[in-house]
Amino acid sequence: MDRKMTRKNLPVLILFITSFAYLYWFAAGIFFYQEQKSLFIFSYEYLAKHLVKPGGLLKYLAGFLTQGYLSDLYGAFINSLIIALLAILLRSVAERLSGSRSFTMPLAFLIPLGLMICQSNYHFNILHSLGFLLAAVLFLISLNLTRKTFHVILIFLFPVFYFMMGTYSLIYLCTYLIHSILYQNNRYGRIFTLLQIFISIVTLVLFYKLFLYQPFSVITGYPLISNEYGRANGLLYGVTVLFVLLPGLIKISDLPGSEKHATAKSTVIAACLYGISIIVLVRQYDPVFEGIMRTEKRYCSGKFDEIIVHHEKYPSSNIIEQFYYNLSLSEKGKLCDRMFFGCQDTGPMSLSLGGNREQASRTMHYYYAVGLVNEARHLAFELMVINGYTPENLKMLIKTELINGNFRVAERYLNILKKTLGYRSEAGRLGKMLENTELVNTDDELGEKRKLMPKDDFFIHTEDAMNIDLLVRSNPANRKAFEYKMARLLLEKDILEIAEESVKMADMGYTTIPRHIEEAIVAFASYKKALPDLAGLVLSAGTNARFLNYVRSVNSFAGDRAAIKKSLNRAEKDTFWYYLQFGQIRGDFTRSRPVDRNVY
Amino acid sequence: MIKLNLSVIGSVIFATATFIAGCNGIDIRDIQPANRQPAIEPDYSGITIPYNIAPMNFRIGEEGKKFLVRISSSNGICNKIRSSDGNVIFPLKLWRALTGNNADSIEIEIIAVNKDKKYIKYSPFSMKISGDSVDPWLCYRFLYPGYETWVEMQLILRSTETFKEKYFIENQLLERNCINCHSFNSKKAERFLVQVRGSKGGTYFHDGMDLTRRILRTDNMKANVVYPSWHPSGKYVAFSSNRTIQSFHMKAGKNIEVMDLFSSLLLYDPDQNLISPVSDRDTANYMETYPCWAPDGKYLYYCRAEQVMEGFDYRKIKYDLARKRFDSDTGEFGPAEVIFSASEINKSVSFPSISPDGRYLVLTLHDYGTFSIWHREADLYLLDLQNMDIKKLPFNSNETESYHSWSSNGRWIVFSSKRLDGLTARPFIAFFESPGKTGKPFVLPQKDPTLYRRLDKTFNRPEFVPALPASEARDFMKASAKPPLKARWIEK
Repeated sequence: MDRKMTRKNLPVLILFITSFAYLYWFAAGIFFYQEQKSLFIFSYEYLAKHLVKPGGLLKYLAGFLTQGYLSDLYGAFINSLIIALLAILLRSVAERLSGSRSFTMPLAFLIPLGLMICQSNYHFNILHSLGFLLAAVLFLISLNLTRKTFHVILIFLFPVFYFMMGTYSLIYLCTYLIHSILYQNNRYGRIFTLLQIFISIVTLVLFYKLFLYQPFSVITGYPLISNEYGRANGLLYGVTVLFVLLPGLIKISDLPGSEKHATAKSTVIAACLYGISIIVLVRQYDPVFEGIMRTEKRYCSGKFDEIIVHHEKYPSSNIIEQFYYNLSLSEKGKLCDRMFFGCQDTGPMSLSLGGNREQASRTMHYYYAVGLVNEARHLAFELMVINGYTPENLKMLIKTELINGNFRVAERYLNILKKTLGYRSEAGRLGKMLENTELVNTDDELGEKRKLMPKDDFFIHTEDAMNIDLLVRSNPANRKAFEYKMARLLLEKDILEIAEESVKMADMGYTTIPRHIEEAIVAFASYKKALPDLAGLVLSAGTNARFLNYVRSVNSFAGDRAAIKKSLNRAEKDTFWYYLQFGQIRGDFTRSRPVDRNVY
Repeated sequence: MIKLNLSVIGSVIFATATFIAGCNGIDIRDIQPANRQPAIEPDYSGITIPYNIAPMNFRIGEEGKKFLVRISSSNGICNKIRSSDGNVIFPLKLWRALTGNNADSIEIEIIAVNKDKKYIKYSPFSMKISGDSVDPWLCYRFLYPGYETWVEMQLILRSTETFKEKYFIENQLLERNCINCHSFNSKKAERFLVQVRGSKGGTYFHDGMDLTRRILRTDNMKANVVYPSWHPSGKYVAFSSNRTIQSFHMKAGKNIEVMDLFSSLLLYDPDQNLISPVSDRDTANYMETYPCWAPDGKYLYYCRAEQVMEGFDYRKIKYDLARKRFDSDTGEFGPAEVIFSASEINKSVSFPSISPDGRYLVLTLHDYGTFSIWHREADLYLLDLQNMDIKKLPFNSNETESYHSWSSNGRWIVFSSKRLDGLTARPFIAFFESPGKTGKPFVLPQKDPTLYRRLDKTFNRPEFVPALPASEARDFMKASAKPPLKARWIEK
C-alpha cells in the first residue's frame, strides 16, 4: 500500500482500533446487556411485528446483528466495523463535495467519533449506527448518480427507504435537500429537489393516514427519537444535526483561504478530535456497570461458583452484585454458611431487591430460587408483555410452565426458543421434558423447584418478609426459603428471632447448623447466658472456639473500633459477629419484626 | 437415478389413483384402512357450522409424506385437495360451493401416504351445515392474557365469512391506553361504546353519526363505569361501577384472582348525558355487576353478591343472578328479584346474556368470585326463562369457558374457551336451536390452521356484530384529541 493510501486510511484504522479496544476491554458489558434486552426469532410472526412501524426493518436488522453479542469479540468487531465504514463513506462524501481537500476530512470523522462515544452508553443500540450508515450510503449514491433517470428512480424509491429506515430516511432527505440547495443551482437540480420534497410529503401522509396505525410521533420519530431502547440522548441528536448539516459544513470549510496550511490544520484538528473522544470514553467507563454485567452474565450461565469466588475475592458494595452473590449461595445451598464471606452492607434489600418491580428481570430469579415459581412466571410474563421475548424471560416462562405442568403453553414457548440462534440447545434440553413429562420431576433444577413450591395457596404480598414466612409455613421442607428468612434476620441483626426460629431446623432435616446461624446462636447465648432450644442439634465445637478467639481479639483493643477493625484477620471478619458489631446497612429497609426486639 | 424414478413412479401411481377415484369412492387395493378417524387440528369433526362461515382449514395430525383429502358435500359438489405438509387449505370458491345450495353436510375423507409409501385411509368425518347464518363479523379484544401491564392492544373486527381482519381500535393511536369493554347496541353496529383507560381515557360513544369521548365518572361515584349493556331501544346504557383488585396465587395450577371490593349499577342516558344510580333500599348490602338487558327491555338482569367487609375470604364470595323490572318511559326500576341463587349450591354466577327471542339466558357458573376467565372450573349453563330450569350446556371442557354472546338470529353462541392450552382464550362458536338441539362447538377458523398453536395473545370478549361499525381506528384518535363530554349525575 503506498504512503498516500496509508495516510488516507490511517484515521479510519485508528478509529476502528480505538472503538474495538474500548468496547472489548472496557465496555463489553454493553453487549451482554443489549443481548439480554432482545431475542431475534427466526419466524414470520417476529418479522411481521417489525412491519407495523416505519424503520421496523432497520430494527429487525439490528436485532439480527445483536444476537451475535453472545460473543464480546463479535460485538466489538461489528460495532467498530460499522463506525469505520461510516467514516469511509462520509470521507467519500467529503471528497465528492470538496474535491479531496484535506481540511474537510476531520469534518467527515466528527460523526463517526460522535457515534463511537454514543456507543459507550448501554442504551445506545446498533440500529442508530446502521441508520446513519444507510443514510450515508443513500446520500453517496445520490451524489454519484449521473443519469437523470436514475436520479428520478432514487427519488421515487423514497417510500421504500422510509419504510425500511424510518427517521433515518428523513435524515437522508434533509441532508440531500441541504446539498441540493447549496450545490445544485441548475434547473434539473431544482426540479429534483421539488420532486423529492413532494414525494416525501406524500409518503408521510400515506403512511400516516392509510398504511400504518401509528401516531404522528412514531411516523416521524421512529426509531431515532422514540424506540424500544430508551430515548435518544443529546449527543445522538448532535450527531444527527451534524449529519444533516454536513454538506453545509463542507461548503463552509471549502471557502477561499481555507486551503492555506490545510493539511497541517486537518491533522491538528483530527488529533484534537481523537484526543477529546478518548478522554470522553475514559470518563464514560463505568466499572460498576461492567461489574454488574459480568456477574449477571455468570448467573445466567449458571456459574454460581464463579460468582461466589469473585465476590469473596473482590467484595462489591453494589446491591445488585450482592443480590447475585446471595442468590448464588442459595442455589449452592450455602447462603447461611457463607454470606458474610462477601460484602453485605446493603442489608436485607440485597436478598430480594425488595421485590422491586423496576428490577423484575432480576427479582424473578429470586422468586424462582426460593420456590415462588408462580411469581417468577408472573414477572417473566409481564416483562415479555413490556419488552417482548428476551432470553431470560423466555427461559423462565418455559421452566415455570413445565414446573406447573402446563405443557401446551410450555411447548409454545419452546417452539419460539428453538427458533433462536444462541438458545437452541437449551430449547432441546428442556424440550425433552415435553416428550416425557416425568423428566420434570427428575430434573435437578426443575424437580427441585417443584418440591420447593407452596403446598397451600396464598397470594403474593408486597412485603417480601411476609412472602417468605407464608412460604415456609406452607412448605416447611423448603430449606431455601427458610435460609432466606434466616439470612434476613441475620442482616437485621435479630438474634432473638434467629434463636426462636432455630428450633425448626431439626424437623427440616438439618443435621448440622449453618455456620452463620451458629454464630448468631453463640452470640445469643453470650447475651442471654443460655442456649436456645435447638431440638437436638448441637453447636460445633469449632464455632465456640472461634467465638472465644474473636472476643479475645476484640477485647484486647479496649473498645477502639478502628483498631479492632484494622487488626482482625479475614477469618474473623467473615463472621456474623463482625457484622453484628460493625456492619452498617446503607439505605432504607423494612424490618421483619419490631425494632425493640433487636439487640443492636 | 433409481430413487428418482421410484418416486416419480410413485407419484404417477398416486395421481392416477386419485384420477380414477373421482367422486365415486377410492378403490385402490393397497390402501390400508386405519379404522378410525384421523387426528386433526383444530378438531372439526362432527361440528355444526353455518353455511356462511369462512373455510374450515385444518391440519392433519397423522404421519404422512403426502395427503389426499376428498371432500364431498350433500349438495353434490365434491373435490380433492392434496397436501404435502398436512395443512388442508380450502380455496374460498370451493368452500362456498361445498357449503352453498342448501347443503346440510360435508364429508371429508383422508388418505395418507407414509414414508414407506403405504396408503392409509382414515374413516371419514363430517361437518353438519346449518341453514342459519352467523353474523358476518366478530369483534374481540386482542391482547396478552395477563396481568398488570400492557403495551399493544387492539379491538379487532374479524369477518366470520372470510379471514379478513380490520383494526377497530389500535391503542398505539391512543397513547397506548388500555382498551376495556366494548358493547354494541342490540347487535346494531352503528351505535356502540368502548371504554378506554389512561391519558385518553373515557367512554367513547358512537351514536350512529358521530364518535365522542365522554367521562361518565362523577364525584358521586365510588368507582368508574366498567361493564356496559345497551338497552335495546338505544336510549339507555346500564353500567356497573366496580372497584377491582387483583391478586396472584402461589400454588401450582392457579393463576390470578380478580375480585370486586365494591360494585353497583348505574343507568346512563347518552342523549341527555345523565347518569343515575340503580338502587334499592338494600342496594348497599350487595355488590351488583354484569348488567344485561332482556331483549324487550323490560328487565335488567345482573349478578349480585353480599358486600364484602374487611378481612373477607374471597372463596366465600358467591354471586346470584337477579333482575329488576324496568319502565323505559319513566326510567324507573322495580325491586330486585333473585331468579337463580347460585350461592345456595355453593357456586357463583357471572356474564348473563339473553337470547334475542328472550327465552334463554346463558351464564357462566364457577366456584366463587366474579372473574371467571381465571377459573378452570368455569362452565356455561343455560337458564330457561320460561320455566327457570337450568342445565349445563354440552359445550364445556375441562378448562375455562367464560364470556359468551349470542348471534343476532339467536342460533349461534360465541364463547371464550381456554381448552386449547389452558392459558389463552379462543373464540368458539356453537350452534343452538333449543336446549336439546345444539352443535359441537368449533374454534373460529384461521387461514393458517396452526395459528392458535403459535399465538400467545388471547381473544377477549368476543361479540357478534351484524355489520361493520361506522368508525375505524383513526376516528378514535381524532375523538381522543377533543375535550371530553362530562356526564352529569342525577338521583332518581
